[in-house]
Amino acid sequence: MKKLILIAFTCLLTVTAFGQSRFYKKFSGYEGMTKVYISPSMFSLMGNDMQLELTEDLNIAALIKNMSGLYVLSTSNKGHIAEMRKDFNDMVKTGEFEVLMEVEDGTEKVIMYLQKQEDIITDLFICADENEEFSVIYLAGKMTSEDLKEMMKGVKN
Amino acid sequence: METDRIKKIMDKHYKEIEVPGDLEAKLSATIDRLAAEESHGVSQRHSRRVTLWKVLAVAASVTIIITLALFLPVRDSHLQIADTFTNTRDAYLETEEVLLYVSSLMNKGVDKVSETQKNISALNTVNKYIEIQ
Repeated sequence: MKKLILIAFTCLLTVTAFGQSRFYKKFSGYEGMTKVYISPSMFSLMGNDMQLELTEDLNIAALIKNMSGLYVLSTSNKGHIAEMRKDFNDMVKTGEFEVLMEVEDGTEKVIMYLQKQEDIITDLFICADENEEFSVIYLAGKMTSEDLKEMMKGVKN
Repeated sequence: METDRIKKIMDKHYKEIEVPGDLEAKLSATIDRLAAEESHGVSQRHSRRVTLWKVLAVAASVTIIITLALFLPVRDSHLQIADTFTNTRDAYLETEEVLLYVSSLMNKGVDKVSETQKNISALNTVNKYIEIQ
């Protein structure tokens, strides 16, 4: 019985872990979808390339070194938006997500979710709904709240 | 001698008991019935065992199908995601743009919180002023 519970739990964890990239895999094939994927290998290469310090507005060097994936999906197709919203909500329900913030400003609505392992942020999801455009951004890696604060410094709205 | 004596005693004893005429037929019918019941029981046990095996086979098949459905897509090479950029510079520029956007959104949220806090402190000041009056 214990073995069965352990197997079921392992399966559940695997499903959750692959759910995030599966979401990208599914919607990146849709027509009219703007998509960006930056792999862990690319982040590793970026981290080694010290000449890539291009802006003074944003201090992201520390953040990039610890990032392991960046996924962006954006669309203005109403049918795709409805499906994405449903799948995104399902994904959030299956994982242990914490709402970081929810901002509503006129027609713009942004919700940020995060997943933590102790004090380290391992996943950051941004779901932005603005002017008939729906975007989902997923940052994977090991980030601290200090890294995020540092990133926010010097950036104006 | 002794055997004859026992036979005599038994004959004398059983002479008084009336044996029904159809006893033999009844006995053989009972034996047949019991034999039929026994063979039926064996076949029932056998069919129960077959049903159990069928149930186990179905459960095993379902487990295999679920396991394949969960793990097969992950190993499918056609579903591997390709990097959007082939050089680090473009990837860095895109990352920077995304992080700038995320930062601006976070700042917007933080500003809203500070705005609300200011409103609350202003409201508290007004309340204090009213209490003093």
